[in-house]
Amino acid sequence: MKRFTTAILISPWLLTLLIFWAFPVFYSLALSFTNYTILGQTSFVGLANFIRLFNDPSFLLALKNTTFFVFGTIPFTTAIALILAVLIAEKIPGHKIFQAGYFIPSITSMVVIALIFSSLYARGGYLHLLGSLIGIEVPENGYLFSARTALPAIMAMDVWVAIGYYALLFLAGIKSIPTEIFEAARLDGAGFLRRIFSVTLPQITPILLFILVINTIRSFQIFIEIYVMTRGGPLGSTSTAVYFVFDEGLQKFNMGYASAAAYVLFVIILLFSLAQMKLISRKGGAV
Amino acid sequence: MFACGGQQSNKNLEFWQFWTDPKAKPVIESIIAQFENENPGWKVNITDLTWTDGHQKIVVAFGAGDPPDLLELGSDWIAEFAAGHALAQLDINTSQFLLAEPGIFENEIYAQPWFLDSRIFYFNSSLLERANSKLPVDWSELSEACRKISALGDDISGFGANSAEPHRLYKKFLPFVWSAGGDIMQNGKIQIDTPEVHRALEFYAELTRCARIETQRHLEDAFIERKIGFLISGGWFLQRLIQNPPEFEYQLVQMIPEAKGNTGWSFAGGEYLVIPYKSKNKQAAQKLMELITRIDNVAALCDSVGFGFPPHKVSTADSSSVLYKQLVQSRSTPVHPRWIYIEAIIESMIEQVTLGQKTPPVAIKEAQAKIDEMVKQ
Repeated sequence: MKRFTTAILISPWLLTLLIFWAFPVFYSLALSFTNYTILGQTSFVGLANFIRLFNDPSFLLALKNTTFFVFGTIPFTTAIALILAVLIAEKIPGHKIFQAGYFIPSITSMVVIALIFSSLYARGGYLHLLGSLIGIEVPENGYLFSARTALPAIMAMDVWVAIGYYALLFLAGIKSIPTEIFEAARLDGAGFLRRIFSVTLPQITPILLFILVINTIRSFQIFIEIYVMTRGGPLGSTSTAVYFVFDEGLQKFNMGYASAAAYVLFVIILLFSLAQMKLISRKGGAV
Repeated sequence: MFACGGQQSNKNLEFWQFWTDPKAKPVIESIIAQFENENPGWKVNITDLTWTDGHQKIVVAFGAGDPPDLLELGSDWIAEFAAGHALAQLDINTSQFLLAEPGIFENEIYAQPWFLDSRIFYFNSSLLERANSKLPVDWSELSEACRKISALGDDISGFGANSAEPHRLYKKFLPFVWSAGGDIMQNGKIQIDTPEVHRALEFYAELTRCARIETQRHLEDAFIERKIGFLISGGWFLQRLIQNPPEFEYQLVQMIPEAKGNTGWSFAGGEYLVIPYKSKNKQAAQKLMELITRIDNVAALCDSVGFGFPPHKVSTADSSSVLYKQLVQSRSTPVHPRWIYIEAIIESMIEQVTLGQKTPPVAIKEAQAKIDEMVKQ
């Protein structure tokens, strides 16, 4: 009876997991070995989709852009979030307002943020005008219509959006450090910077590594910003791996090919995550 | 057989369409009500689609084997579905319609034209005057007007050029090819490495050098803000200008040909109705389609939204209007089952040239090679 009750109670979660998670995951793996296009005939193509992917300049460009995005945003997001968390933890005047303010972008719809930034980056938009005023060489038609500046512009927006959330995680880590350690450091004459580097940072290493893992996964999956702001343009300069999957799967309906691309991305994220996890275990942290 | 009367059993007819404009909805609903009154026992369920994700929903419905009975499609989607054997052949006389070609695939008719609209030039007359420029009649004058207007400064650009919005940029470029006397579809094959395409791309690149590059919506805003001398847009933009008149004079001009006296061809957008092959109510769907596309009903739809024309050659439209004159000198998307890939290659080619990454000859040759390779796959 107990087993039956347990099965009944767990069944909503289990069914959801099986139908909406496990089935699509394994079905798309099967699709990645076919040329399934919804409307046409389907046949087994073996590894042809994977071989084609690594010879497809569009996919390679999307991977390159994604990698640039990941390594170009994570250091900034992490560093700025950490600085903000330290400042908030120091209880500077108005720290509660800053705390709430930094977090607002994280709870705002990404579509809304992307639309606002599209206007700010456009020709005549505030950030475009600001760039001209301070003497930066700005693209004539706005940041998003230049292959040179479109991706960095989206990356800058993404850093701005993400820092509040990660600052909050860092803050939680800092707050969990026993105050006695800080007091002891003060008594020993440690200044503000010394306390940060010798007390705060070593104590929050597990949080730091956790943030690196989730930020890496999230950055590899960047899509909404691209869809709303540039649709992968200009000239594919903002096309990312997930946007490529979307374009092939839901625009061109090459479901088999898109599934193969999704699995390549999955393997890349898995490898990065495993490497970071290994790093965590070496450092003796627990996540 | 489908019975017009007497059949009282309740049968549902699924109709998927894209008209979500609050002004159009009552017209659509009144046509449906008329159909239901004339055909007791039938209930029409309307499903509204959006242009953002409607295509995906349609493909998924076909893939699931559960398409609607009657369906609205954009002109550039018909070949894709016809090639996938998803549409029923229609028995209609296409000679009575303008721009019936997008509905014909491999000599079979799959779609009935419903609603047409064309693109024309909108000129800011005040900026033309300030730039001491007259209304251009050929490409060289158009280019000169563009440069002179841009030289006015104050963040004013001569031309409003589209950024690479997917499915939009090629619609702005192909009219230049057609107006140069060319066509990219030759004997069922896509041929872009032609002298006409070379000239059109050279000229388009020249125009973009004095252009503001933006999305269509932002270009139209910039035109209203007097930041653009001229742009290409459809009847919807005229409606916007009529409802909110700008504080300057503007002129509507047909597409400008390469040489004075030649025809300036434009791109016609269209809505078409199709009956999916798997529909179990084909006869009823055919009857509803005939009612929806009846000239008075299409005219009512056009009146409600303030733009567009019935596709019928014997039209109620004002034949002296610039938009209508342009419509009869318009073409549509080339009919090719892999057009969605071809347009992406063409749009990328245009972008490479307008962003200065490649010269027109290099970009065209590479694009032609990509198209040939893609068609072979």
